[in-house]
Amino acid sequence: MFFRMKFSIPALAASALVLCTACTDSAPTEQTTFFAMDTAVSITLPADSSAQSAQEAITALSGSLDSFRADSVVSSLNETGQVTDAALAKILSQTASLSDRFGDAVSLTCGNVTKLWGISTDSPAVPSEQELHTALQTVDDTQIRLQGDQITLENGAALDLGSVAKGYALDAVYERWQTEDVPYGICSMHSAVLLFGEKPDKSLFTVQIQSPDDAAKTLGTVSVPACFLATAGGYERYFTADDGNEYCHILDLQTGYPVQSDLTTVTVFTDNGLKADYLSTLIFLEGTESIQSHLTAADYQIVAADQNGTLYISDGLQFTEAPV
Amino acid sequence: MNHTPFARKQDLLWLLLPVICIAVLLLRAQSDTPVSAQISIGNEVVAVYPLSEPQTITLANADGIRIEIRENAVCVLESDCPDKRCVRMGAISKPGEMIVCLPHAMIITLVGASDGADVVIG
Repeated sequence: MFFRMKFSIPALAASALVLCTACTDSAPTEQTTFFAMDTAVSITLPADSSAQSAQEAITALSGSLDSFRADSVVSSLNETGQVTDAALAKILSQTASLSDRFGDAVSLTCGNVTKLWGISTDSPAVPSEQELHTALQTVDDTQIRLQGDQITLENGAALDLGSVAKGYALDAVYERWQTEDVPYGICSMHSAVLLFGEKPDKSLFTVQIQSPDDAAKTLGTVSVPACFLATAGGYERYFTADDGNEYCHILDLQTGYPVQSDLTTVTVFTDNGLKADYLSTLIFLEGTESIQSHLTAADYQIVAADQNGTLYISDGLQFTEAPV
Repeated sequence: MNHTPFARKQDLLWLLLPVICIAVLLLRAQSDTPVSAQISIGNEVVAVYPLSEPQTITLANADGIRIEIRENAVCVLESDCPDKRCVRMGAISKPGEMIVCLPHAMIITLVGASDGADVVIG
């Protein structure tokens, strides 16, 4: 008889180990997808966490922050010149701090200009020089007055939060998941992503950055711990006008026209969603001119590519270029 | 009559234990579901197709779209939407990747065993 006590204890231990490994090596996750903020949102969470609070937060903000929706808080502000709203006040305050640091290439008072172009609507069009000139007069951060949660716009200024809305939505999701003790999760709004918590196997999150030239191809892969990231590029949203030219959605607020950047894509990694969103737009607008200062920044990291295919990658960022 | 039977009750237990372990391992391997294309229209999942069964699909509530399921990939062959971004997107082959058609409020995403990146940004 070959079953003896001296074999049975190790056998039991080995079996227990196998069973434990088998049960914990890959915790199941669930993916929830829905539309909000004019994009497909995808939330990945462990199967026993609920995506509901995140979905509610994003959907609510999608309604209130959209300047192209007549019933939004932003539209109400743009029409009447005044509104009281805590979230909007927070966004304006945070963006103002970023503009103190980075200048006014990105401004939320671009509402009259973006409305003329209508790039995310059914009927985008190239505005006339005259229309643009008039609209550009109202692009001015000093026309925003903040008193607590009360916001006032002066001199016909109008807001469009397109450059920061998704990032702010991710900040809202982050707060929900912190409160709910979610162990880890991914909230993707396609061009802005929240990587939250720590994966069960303690490995880094892997992010593929889409090639700006071909959506089916990859620029490269980054391995990062939990953070916020956002990408800006002219290829994301554009329209082809009657004149045959392509006009992208990122506007140069000096000229009122889509920016002619020598960068094709910028991805920013940092510790705040609104900041990631803002910076990706800012750096794309600036082009390669100031890129060195961004590459050496202490509080964020970037991956960018220019029209020649040259890559700009912050030190310390684990980036693997995709094979050609 | 044997006074040492071939298998006593305790022995049976020790024999079963490794068998149970192997069974659990095999079951876990199988529960990594094969990759499927999940299609949703207007935030509701309307169809799920395993990639292991190649076919071409026209959706009931979006009949201007033809979707091709291939071994390991799915793509939109043609669409009646104005900008055709969904067609230009090409084929997706890894869980987490998505094809989106905003005019039709359609999302095609791949679900199942993940051996690729956690997320794609662009």
